[in-house]
Amino acid sequence: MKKFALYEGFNSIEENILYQSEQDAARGRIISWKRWGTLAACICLAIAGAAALPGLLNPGISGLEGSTSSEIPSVSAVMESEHPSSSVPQSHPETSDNRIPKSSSQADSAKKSDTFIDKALTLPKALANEPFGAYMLSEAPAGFQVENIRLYQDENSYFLSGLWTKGTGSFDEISWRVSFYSEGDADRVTSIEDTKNYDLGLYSIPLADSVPIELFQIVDHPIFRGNELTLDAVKRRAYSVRDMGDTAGKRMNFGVLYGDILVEISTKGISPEWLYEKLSGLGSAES
Amino acid sequence: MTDEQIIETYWQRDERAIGESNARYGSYCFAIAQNILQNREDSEECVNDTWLQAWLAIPPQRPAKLKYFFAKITRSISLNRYKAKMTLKRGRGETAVILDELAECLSDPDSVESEYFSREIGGKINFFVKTLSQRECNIFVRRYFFSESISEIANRYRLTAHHITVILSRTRRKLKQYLQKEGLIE
Repeated sequence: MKKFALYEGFNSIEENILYQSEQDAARGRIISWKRWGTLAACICLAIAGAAALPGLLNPGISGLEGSTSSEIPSVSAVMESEHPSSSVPQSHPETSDNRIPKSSSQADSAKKSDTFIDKALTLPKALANEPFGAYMLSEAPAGFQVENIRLYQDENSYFLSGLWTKGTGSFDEISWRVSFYSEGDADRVTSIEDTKNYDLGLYSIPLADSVPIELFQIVDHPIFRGNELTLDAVKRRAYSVRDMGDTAGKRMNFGVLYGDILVEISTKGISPEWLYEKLSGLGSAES
Repeated sequence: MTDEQIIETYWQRDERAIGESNARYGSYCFAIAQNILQNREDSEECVNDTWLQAWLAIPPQRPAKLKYFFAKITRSISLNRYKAKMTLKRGRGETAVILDELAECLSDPDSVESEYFSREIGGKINFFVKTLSQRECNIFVRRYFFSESISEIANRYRLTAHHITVILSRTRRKLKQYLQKEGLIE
């Protein structure tokens, strides 16, 4: 059958492309592990703290010796009050400096939440969302329509995402994703000066063939600091590919960091100038 | 053992090559087979067959990336096994869904492929994925080479399942247009 032959045809994909897909996929897993690692570390600290507390308050009691069963619930009580399972962070800190946040308490609580949310939103509701709405795209260029806006949260992820398209016959799209910055993103943050980390004009497509392996991740999905972003940097992210059956149009993908909020964008068919204006608006609104 | 050492062991016709391959890439190849077959026993057999085929292929071959060399063998064996099972009963699971998705790229998906189609399709797909953006390419490859589920891909790339579905649907449409342009389908 033809469809089977087509499926089998994927075996001819070059190995460097398979490798590239694995590297990108692995990044997500690393982030996930780091998040669980952070959670595990917090639990250990909470337990260690609870164990040490009686000793500190009453020097006559050392360590866990003498702990009674009534002390055990106090550990979980501390954890519950710090990380309410049903709470959604309500606001973001007004930071706009250059530092990379290690991890905010809100981000932590979001990571540790066992709340599951997968909700389709209207654009007005998305814009009103706390803490992500202020960083959501409020208006797309003429011709684009909202295809999907979702608020998603599980034990690993918490984000607000939107997809704008031009409908049938066009492949133009704007994908906009707002989430908390996590430590797993740190190796993708680049300064504007380090053009080798993000300037696609320096490399040929596919990137897997041209970008040194140690730079692949950051060149593929760099993150700029909001207060450093320039039009020139956005332009350097624009590229075109010979897209069979597709309409012409520049593509761009990168992230911008505003305090501990990360905005990740992937677009096709919009201008760098328009995108820069939107992103600059977010940055100035914050500072 | 490093990949180079394993390859060297194959070249020396030393049977330890199989054990080392299994130790290093057994679970990786099993996951590929399992995605296609959804059957533990069948998948294990495919992995064992992978080492046998590698034994026959090395030498003369000297794979540049051993991991993907094995991945391709496992995928090929698993697809053949799936096809054989499909003649007995309708295929099930994720592979059936994937085949239905790929059928959208063809005007006559259930017809017998021509010799020209079989010979050309691999090269065309390889060229096509290179024209895609990095993200589209990666998602397309995760779905149609590694046969991963939509939810797994969504989790990997931190996107919603719906977003992945949209990206895949658009990319399939592009593939269809490309195959039409190249004269592989009407």
